[in-house]
Amino acid sequence: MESLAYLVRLSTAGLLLDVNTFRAQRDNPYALREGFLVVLIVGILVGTAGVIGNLLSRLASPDPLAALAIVQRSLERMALITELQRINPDVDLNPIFSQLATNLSILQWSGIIGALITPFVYLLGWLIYGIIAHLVARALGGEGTLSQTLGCTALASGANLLAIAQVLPFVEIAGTTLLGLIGCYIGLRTAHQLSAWRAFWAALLGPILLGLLLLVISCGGIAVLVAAAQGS
Amino acid sequence: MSIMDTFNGALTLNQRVFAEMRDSADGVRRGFLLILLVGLLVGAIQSASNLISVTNPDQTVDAILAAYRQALEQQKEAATTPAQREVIDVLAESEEEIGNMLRELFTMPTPLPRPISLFLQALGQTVSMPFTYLSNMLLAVVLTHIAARQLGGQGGIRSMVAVGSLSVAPHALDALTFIPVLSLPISLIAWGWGLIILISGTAVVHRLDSGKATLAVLLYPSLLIILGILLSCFLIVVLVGLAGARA
Repeated sequence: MESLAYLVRLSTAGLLLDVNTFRAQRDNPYALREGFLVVLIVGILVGTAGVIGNLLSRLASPDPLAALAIVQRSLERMALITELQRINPDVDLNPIFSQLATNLSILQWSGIIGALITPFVYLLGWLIYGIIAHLVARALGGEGTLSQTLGCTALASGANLLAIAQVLPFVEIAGTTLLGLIGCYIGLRTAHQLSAWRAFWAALLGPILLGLLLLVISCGGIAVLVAAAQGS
Repeated sequence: MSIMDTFNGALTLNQRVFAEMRDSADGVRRGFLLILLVGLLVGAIQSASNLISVTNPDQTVDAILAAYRQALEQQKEAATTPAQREVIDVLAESEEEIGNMLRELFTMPTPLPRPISLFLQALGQTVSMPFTYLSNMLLAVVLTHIAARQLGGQGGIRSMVAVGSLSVAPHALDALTFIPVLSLPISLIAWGWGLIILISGTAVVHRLDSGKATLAVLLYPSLLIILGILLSCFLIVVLVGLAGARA
C-alpha cells in the first residue's frame, strides 16, 4: 500500500507540472490505483480544509438572517418605498424578504455540504474527464491505455491542493481549474505521446463540449421560462 | 539562485534569469513561490489598510454616503423630465436611513469576538491575493503560449508557466495602491512592466524575436477585446430593435 507521503508527493509533482513524474506515472503498472488514491487524498484534504474554513467563516460573520432583517426594516422606512406604497398599496416587501431568508438558510448549509462531498466530486470529475479525454486522444492517434490516461490525469488534480488554503475563512481560490487543465494537457501528451496540438485538443475538447452542452441547456431553460411567463 | 535574485532578475529583465527559469527543473516551484511572496506582501498591506477603515464604521459610512450624494447629483444634472427629478429627490431623502442601516450592519455582533473576526477577514483577504495573481498569470500564459506556438515558437508550457510567473514581480508595487492619488499610476506601471517581462519571457522560452513575442502576448487579448466590443454592439442593436418593435 502506498504511503500517504508518497501520494502527497505525487500530487505535489502534478501541481508543479513535473514532466518526469508524469513520465514515471505513464510507465507505472499501478498508475490507475495510485491515480485513484491521489485524487481521493486531494479531495479529502481539500474537503476537510473547506469544512474548517466554512465553520470559521460562519463564526466570524454576523448572522445573515439578522442582517436581512435590518435591511428590510430600513427599506420599509425609506422614502422611496413609502412613496411607492402610497402610489400602490399592494407593494409589499415581506414575500421578497421571506424568499431571500429561505434561500440564505439553504446557502448557509450548501458550503459545508459542498465541502463534505468534495472527494466524490473530484473522483467523479476525474473519471468522466479521463474517459472523454482518453477517447479523444485515441481518436487523434494516441497510443496510451485508459489506465495510463487516468493515471496521468490524476496527477493534474494536484492543482486542487492549492484549495487547501480554504482552511482559512474568507479565502477566495482562483486558478486551480486552469492549472489542472495544463496538468491534464501534459498528462495526455505524456500518456499518449501526442504532438502538442493533438494533446491540446484532447485536453480541451471534453470541457468545450461540456460548456456547449451547458449553454444549450441554459438557453433551453431560459426559453421554457420565458414561454411559461408569456403563457401565464 | 535565491528567490530575491530571481525577483531582481525579473524586474531588470535579466536574460540569464529568464533562461535559467526556462531550463530549470524547479522553475515552476520558484515561479509559484515568487507569486506567493508578492501576493502575500500586497495582500497584507491592502488588508491592513482596509482593517484601519473597517475599525472606524462612521468613516466608512460617511465615505459611502458621500459617493451616494455625488452619484445623485450627477443623475440630477442628467435628468430631463420632472418625474426623473422627483425620483432623485425621493432617493436623496433616503440618505439618512441608508446611513443608519449601514452603521447597524457594520456594527453587528459576530459569534467570535469582533477583533478576531476582523483579523480572520484580513487574513482571508491577504491569502486570496496570490490566487488572484496566479489565475491572471495562468490565463495570460496560456493565451500567449497558444499564440506563440502558432507563430512558430518551440517552447513548452511548463517553461512558459515558470517564466510567465516572473511577470508578477512588478505587481509588488500594488502594495502602494492604498495611497489614493497614486493608485492608478502605480497599477498601470506594474501592469505595463509585467507585460514587458511577459514579452521578454515569451521570446526566451519560444526563441522568438521580440516582434513575434509581442504579437504572441497581445494577439488573443486584442481579439477578445474586439469580440467583446462587437458582441456589445450586437446586443445593443438587438435591444433597440426589440424596444422599437414593442413601441
